[in-house]
Amino acid sequence: MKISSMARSILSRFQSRDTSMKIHGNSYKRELMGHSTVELQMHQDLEESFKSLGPEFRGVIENAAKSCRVAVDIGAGTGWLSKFLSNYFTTVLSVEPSSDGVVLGKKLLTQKDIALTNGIYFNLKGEDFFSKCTFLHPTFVIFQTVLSHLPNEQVTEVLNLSNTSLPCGSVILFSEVYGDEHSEVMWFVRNQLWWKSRMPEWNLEFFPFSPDGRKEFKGFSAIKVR
Amino acid sequence: MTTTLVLRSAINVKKYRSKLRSPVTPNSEREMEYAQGIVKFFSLVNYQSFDFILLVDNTISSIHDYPQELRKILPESCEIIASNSNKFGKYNKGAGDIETYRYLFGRDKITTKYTVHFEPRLQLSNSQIFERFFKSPMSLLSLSMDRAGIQTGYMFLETSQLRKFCSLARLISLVIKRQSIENHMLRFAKTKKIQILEGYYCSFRIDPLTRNLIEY
Repeated sequence: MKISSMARSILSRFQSRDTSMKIHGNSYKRELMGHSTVELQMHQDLEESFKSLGPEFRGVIENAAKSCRVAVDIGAGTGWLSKFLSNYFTTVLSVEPSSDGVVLGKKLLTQKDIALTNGIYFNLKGEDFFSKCTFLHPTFVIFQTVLSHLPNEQVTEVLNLSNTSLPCGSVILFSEVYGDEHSEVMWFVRNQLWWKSRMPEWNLEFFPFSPDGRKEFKGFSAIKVR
Repeated sequence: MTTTLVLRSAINVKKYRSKLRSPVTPNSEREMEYAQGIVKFFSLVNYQSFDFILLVDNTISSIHDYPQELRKILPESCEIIASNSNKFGKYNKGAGDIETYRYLFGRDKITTKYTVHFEPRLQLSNSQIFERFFKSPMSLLSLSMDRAGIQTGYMFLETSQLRKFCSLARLISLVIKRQSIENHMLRFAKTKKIQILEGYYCSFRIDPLTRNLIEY
């Protein structure tokens, strides 16, 4: 079979498989073109750091996978967490506002051994994604240190839109900081009351995970009950 | 084992809008959906796994009416067929599907043992069912979420069975009684003892009109 050069070029972007690449543990026998090796290593390192956050994070994902088929990774970047989630959910929707991130993620996630075969990218902001899409069945959503970088008004908008978009039984995992003090210095730290007041239709559970012994904690989950 | 992939599209529904019973996605949105669906499909499924690839559109009368942008992303080996076979399809989508297959069979366009049907408006998110089919070719269907019918967005069928199904269907009845092809196919599959997967979803679509994400 022959395909035109243009079609070949388009298809090759999505079908690229470097069969020469072999991954043994964390070392790669051959380098991929460009910076891919570094980024693949980064994928693995980020996944390891996520796994080390604490059992609560993984527990929420494992439980959510029993009732949700679709996972949404907001602020997916190059897709390392989407790849991790793909082990648990039938379909993973990766939402990333940076077009560079999407291009790189698509490239990385077609590589042999880390190919993401049940995911799809949306080059959108989280709020735009939720305003374009309504879920009919319980869905799992994760914010991986995304909202901590956004001001209150924008986070409130994202929460309102996600609330409208998601049905009862949906689960959100916030891998985000929270704390008693409302800090806006390095990043936005909101207290439990702030989060609860913005999510009245959700049951929130805050994890006692403290990254480095500070008064900031990381991680909480929400289940939509109304 | 030889397999024909039939990509089913309906790109130009504008002219039928007054006759349709339910709202349809505008042409521009449809083109975007097809483009995304086709690229995604061929990113997950190797086009070389198929012996023949047909893209059949029953809403145009000439392949020159098929959008250039979509033609660019199809494998060169894909034959585009403008069947314009939409006498019943404009009233009932399932009837249009059967009408279109009758058109293809009438012109000997499908000669392989198996036919794989896929509607590229769906975003394929998981290629496992295709891998399973190629590993062990057999007729394979998937039950819809409400269990009332078959997911007709993707089907794996022995061509002889598909031909039989199309010949048995009464299109006028589908239209007048507002019957669904999904339900007809389910009854046919049970009669023929075709394997039906339950609770299996490998694709989805975000309806541009309702914004609902629907899994198939």
